[in-house]
Amino acid sequence: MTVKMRDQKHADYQLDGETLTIGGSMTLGSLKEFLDYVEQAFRNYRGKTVIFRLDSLQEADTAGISAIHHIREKLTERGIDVKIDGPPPDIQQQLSTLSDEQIFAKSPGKKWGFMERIGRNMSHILREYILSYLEIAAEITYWSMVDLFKKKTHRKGEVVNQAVLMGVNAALIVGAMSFIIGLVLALQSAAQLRAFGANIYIVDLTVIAMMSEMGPLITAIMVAGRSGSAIAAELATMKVTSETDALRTMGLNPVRFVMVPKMHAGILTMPFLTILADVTGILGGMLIATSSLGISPLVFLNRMEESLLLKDIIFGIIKSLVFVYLIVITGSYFGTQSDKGASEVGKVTTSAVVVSISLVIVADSIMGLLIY
Amino acid sequence: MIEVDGLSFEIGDKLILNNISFQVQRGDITAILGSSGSGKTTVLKHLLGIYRSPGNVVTVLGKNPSEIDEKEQKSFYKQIGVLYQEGALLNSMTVGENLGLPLEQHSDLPAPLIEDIVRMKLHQVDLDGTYEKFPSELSGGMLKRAALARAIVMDPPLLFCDEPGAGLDPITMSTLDQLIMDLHKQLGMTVVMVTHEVPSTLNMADQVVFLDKGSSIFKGTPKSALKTSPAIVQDFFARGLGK
Repeated sequence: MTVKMRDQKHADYQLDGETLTIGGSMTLGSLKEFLDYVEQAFRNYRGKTVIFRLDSLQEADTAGISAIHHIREKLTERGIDVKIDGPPPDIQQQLSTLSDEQIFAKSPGKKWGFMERIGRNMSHILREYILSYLEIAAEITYWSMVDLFKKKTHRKGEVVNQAVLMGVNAALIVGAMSFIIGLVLALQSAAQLRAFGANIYIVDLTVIAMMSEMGPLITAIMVAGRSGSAIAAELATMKVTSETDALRTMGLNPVRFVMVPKMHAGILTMPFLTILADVTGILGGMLIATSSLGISPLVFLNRMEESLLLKDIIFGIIKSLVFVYLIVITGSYFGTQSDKGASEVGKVTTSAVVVSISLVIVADSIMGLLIY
Repeated sequence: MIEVDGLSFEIGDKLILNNISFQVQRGDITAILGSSGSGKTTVLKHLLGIYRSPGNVVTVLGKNPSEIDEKEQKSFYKQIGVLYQEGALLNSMTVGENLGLPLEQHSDLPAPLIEDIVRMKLHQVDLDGTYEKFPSELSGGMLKRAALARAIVMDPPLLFCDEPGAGLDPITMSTLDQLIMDLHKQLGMTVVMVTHEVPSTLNMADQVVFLDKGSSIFKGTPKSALKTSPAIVQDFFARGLGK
């Protein structure tokens, strides 16, 4: 069979008995038809030997040589003895190179049993993820406490700068989202409460839900998305550009210089953001209470005073501090774990947000079970 | 000033460095040379303490840089300047702030004096007028010079350069080489340069350490590298000179 290519170079190949003659120009462009022909030709081949006659092969690129080698290997696996006859010297040399087993060597890999695989994977997760996460958490926690009383461990004004980025700049979105959540929460409840004539309890529901649960949670989710991702991206980028190495070789600890100011800023601003979320959420609830259930703002506020306990407020703030701690640690962990490369920055940013939010929800449920 | 004695390093099962040994004398310019993947930057990271090395295998200024405790680190790193391949200036800070950072952290100098020192250093590297600029506003050559200025802002006795000419055109690279030589003379610095640039090495280095596949196969002067070294070294130098 002869296949003509547009550039006048063509491959010639024919299986005649036990001889496969390959000639002409065996290059990338001609391989598809060649491989299809060979598959078809050898499908029902019953012989024990095949001779590859290559004396008329004028040209072969790496793809062509690899294809010849590949077919030889396939036939050998079927128990067919393959002989190469008459290749030009340069083709022979390339074929010899491909015969080097080291090029294609794959590590044999031990086969592990099911339980062994579970054990190995758990051990890997523990070592690579959990222990290194705890290590960075310990380091950030330690230096966050020590550096409250020390100067010159980070840039002057950095805590304020981070507080603006994490807190002030998030205020609008946190307030808006919490207002909507409060509104929706009250809306969903209003219909049910009206049916039982228990309209007034919308106040209790909205206030307690916002103060002890929804306010801290919504705030944490927004902060994880904004600041958790930013922390991970910043640290990953610093790693890619050797900035963290540069800090170390200037005698500066990257944890103290970069991560501790963020922790201080988060601890400072998160309670205020949470209170903002609580207030705007309650306002959303008040709007529905007034418009759908006929409860006046004054009645709403009086009822709120009766139903709101100090412990709900304090518990909400404690939750917010735990959440911001988890967000900063998780963002820092993923940022420092990234490998070099631009694509890694995207990956660790996504992971930081997803894991932060997951940890926040888990922590929320644990604290809820403990308190209530 | 620097002593490396039998440094070996593995990552997983792969041997990255194999029994590297060399010394750097005070006042010398030493070039650690080799092709890509030969282990040059890995040696540098050991010298900087970024990678751990046991015992007395690596000593810089009399200490193992990876085993210095937190309290000694500041005084140790005050004596070292590092010019990274990508510059490694902090992108969130201006050039002036980048150069001022080591002075702020390691000294009690007042802010106006720090600014004066920084401006002098920028003048030394011919970057007047860049004090308020951010690293992203600088060209490749300017970024390298700014990074060099930061590396020498404390007048350290020891300067490490990681592929200083990487990514630069020949003229800019030559300018940077001349700058390093001038600063070496003016400040009496010892310089360790990781590079694969043969012309720079021949112009600047007092000593060459040649690495191949993680092993040190030649130590000597650039002249002897051209004439009496192993063939692979001569070939490297010849190709580097375009022969």
